[in-house]
Amino acid sequence: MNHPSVVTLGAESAPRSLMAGSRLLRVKLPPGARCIYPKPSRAGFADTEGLVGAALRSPLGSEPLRARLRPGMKLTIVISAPLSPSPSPGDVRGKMVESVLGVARERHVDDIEIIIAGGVERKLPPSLVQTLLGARVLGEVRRVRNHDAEEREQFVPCGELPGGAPLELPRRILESDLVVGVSARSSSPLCPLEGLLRGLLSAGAMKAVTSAELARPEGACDAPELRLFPLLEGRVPLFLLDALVEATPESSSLSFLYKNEDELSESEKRALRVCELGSVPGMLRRLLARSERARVAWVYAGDPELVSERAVQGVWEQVGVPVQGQADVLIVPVGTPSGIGLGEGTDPLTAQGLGAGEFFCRFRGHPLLRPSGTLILLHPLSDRFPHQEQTASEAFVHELLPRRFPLGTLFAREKERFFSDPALIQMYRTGFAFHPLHSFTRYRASEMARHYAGRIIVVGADNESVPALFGFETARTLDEALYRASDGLSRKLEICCLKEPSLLLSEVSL
Amino acid sequence: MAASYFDVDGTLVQTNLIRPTLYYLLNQPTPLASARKFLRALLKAPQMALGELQDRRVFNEILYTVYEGVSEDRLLVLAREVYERVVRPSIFPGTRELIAKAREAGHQIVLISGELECILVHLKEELGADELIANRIEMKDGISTGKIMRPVVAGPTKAALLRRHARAAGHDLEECFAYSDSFSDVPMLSVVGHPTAVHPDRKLRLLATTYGWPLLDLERAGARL
Repeated sequence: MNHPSVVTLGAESAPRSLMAGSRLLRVKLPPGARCIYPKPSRAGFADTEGLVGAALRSPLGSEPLRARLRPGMKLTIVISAPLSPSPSPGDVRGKMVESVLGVARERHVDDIEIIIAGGVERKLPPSLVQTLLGARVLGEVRRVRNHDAEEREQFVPCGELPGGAPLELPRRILESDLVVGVSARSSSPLCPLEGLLRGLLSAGAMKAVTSAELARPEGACDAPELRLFPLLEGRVPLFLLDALVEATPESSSLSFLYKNEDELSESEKRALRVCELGSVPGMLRRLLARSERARVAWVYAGDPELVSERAVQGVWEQVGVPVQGQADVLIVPVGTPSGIGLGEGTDPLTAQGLGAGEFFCRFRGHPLLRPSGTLILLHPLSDRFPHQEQTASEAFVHELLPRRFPLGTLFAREKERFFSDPALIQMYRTGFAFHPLHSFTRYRASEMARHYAGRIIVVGADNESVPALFGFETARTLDEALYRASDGLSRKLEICCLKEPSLLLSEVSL
Repeated sequence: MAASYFDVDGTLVQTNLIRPTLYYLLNQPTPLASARKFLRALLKAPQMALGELQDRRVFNEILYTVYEGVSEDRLLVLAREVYERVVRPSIFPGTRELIAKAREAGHQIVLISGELECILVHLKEELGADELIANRIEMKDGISTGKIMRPVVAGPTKAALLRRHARAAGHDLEECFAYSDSFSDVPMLSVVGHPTAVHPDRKLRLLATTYGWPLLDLERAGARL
C-alpha cells in the first residue's frame, strides 16, 4: 500500500504541473506513473521565543546555556548556511540569536561577535544581514561579519586533515570560551554541525578537504563526506542550536502548487492555470513568499553531535516519504515557486547541482532511480549567469568544462590556477561574488548522478550547448524524453515524478 | 610563470593624469610662474578634451607639454613630492591586498601606465612591483622639452608593450592577468587570458558584464561587512 503522498496516476488523472526554472510546465504522465508529493508538515508553534527558551534551558547532552556563560568570557555566535534568510518577517535564526543574546546579557557577557559562516559562498549584503538577524540583534551586537575564507591572517591551524594539510579555523573561534552555532532547516537532511564547520574553513583547508574527498575510489561519490568535528579533538567548545521549520505551511498562499492536481478546488485550478500562462515573475514570487509564515516545529539545542543527529532525524520525520521500489525514470523539476535562494540564482551550474545533485541524493536506503536508469531534469539551463555573483561559475562552465577532464584531474590541475584566481578571489572578498571553489562544489554535487544514471535528459532547455557541457542530453518534450528512456526496455517503463523535490526526502525500500 | 599587468590611475590609485600635473603647475619657483603656467595649460584644455575624444595618446602628448622648460633635477624632486602628497594618499584600500594575491599566485607584478615614470617609480617601490612601464619626458641638456618619448604608453600601444614584455619575460599571455578602469585600455585587456575591470567607466562596465570579465571594487576592501 502506497503512502498517501505517493500517488499512482490513472488514465483519467489530470496533467501534472511541474516547475522548470521560473515556469510551470503542464505534463501528461502515462498511467501507472507515480508522483510523489510533499507530505503535510508537522504543525509548527506560534511561540518561537518560548520554544528556543525551553531548548536553551533543557539542552541535549549539555548544561543549560545560562550555566555555560560567565561574565568576561568571549562568546561567538555562528550563523550557518543556507544563508539566504527566510523572507517571512523575522528569520527564525534572528529570533534564536535574540534569545542567546538575552541569556548572555543576564550573565554579563560583553565580548560577543557574530560570524555568518558562508564558507566559499557569496557574502550576504547588508540588506540580507538585516533580514536575517533583525534590527534588534544588529543594534545590540556591533561586531557582525561575513566569514572570509581568504583572509589568511585570521586563520589558525587546529588539526590535521587527511593528507597532512592543516585544518584551519578563524582565530576568534579558537579563542572563544563558547561558540554557539545557529542553524535552521525545513527539509535539508545535511548535518548541521558539519555544515557549520565547513562554513568556517579557510580556502586552503577547503581545498584540502575537497582533495581528500576526491581521492576516494571512482564511483564512491555517495560515500559519506569527510567528518571534520572529530578532527578538532574538542578544541572548539561548541553549543549548537537548530530549528526545524514547517516545510509546507498550511497558511501558504502557494499551497496549491504542492497539492495533487486531482484534488484541487475550482479556485485552486484557476490559480494554477494563471501560473501556467507564463513565467512566474520574480517580484510576484517574492511577494507571495513574503506572505508565507512558516512556523517553528521544534528547536534542538546542546551537544553538537546529539543536536545534529536529532535535527536530521526530525527532518526525516517531517518530510520523509516511504516509497516502495525504484523506477526506470525519475523526473526532477528544478525551481521552486517561492524559493528565494533558488529563484534568484538558478544559473545553469546551480540548477544542475540541485537537480542532479542535491535533489537526486535526497534518499535513504536506495536511490529512487534504478542503476543505469534515466534521470529527467526540467529546467531551461539558460546560458545566463548573474554577473556580480557568478563570474566564477560562468568561467568554470565555459573555460574548464570544455576540457573534459575527470573531476579529480580537473581539481588537481586548476587548484593553484582557476581556484586561486586573484581577480575572482578579490570579487569574492570585496564584492558579493561566489568563490571560484564554489563552482567546483556545485558541479561536483551532480557527480554521483552522472556515474549512476544511464542517461540524464533535460526537458525545457533553451539551448543544447550548456547541457552538453554537463554531459546531459536534451529533449524538446517530456514524451520525447520518455520515448528515449524506453529505448531497449522490453517491459513497461516505471516512472516516478517528484512534485516539489526541495520539500521532500524519499525512504526507498526494494 | 604568469604576470599581472596593472594600469595605475583609477585602477590602483584614485588619481588621474591631471592631478599630479596640476601639482607641478602650482608649485613653480614663483607664484607668478605658477599662474603663467596654469593659464597656458588652461588655454590648452579644449585641445586636450578634443584629444581625449580622439585618442588617449594625443591627450597625453598635449598634457605633458606643460613640463616644457622644467629642469631634470626639479622634475625629480617634485616627483617625490607629488608621490607623497598626491599619489600615496590615493592608493585604494584593496590595492595591496590584490597585489599580494597576485604575488601569492606566483605572478610577476607589472605596472603599466600613461603617468610619468619618475613619479610611478616610488609607487613601484611601495607596492613591491617587479617592473614598471610608463611614459618618460624627453630631456635636452638637462631641460625638459615637454615631449613624451616614444612609444607613448596609452591606448592600443599599451597592448603592444604588454605583448612585448610578456614575450621577453617568457609569459604565456593566456595565463596573464590585466587590470584597468578605463575603456581606452580595452586593447590591453583583450590580449591577456584574464582581463579584469576595476571600478570601470560606463563603457568598460558594459563590456565587462557582457563578456563575463570580473568586476572589482578596491575601494570597498576596508569596509567589508
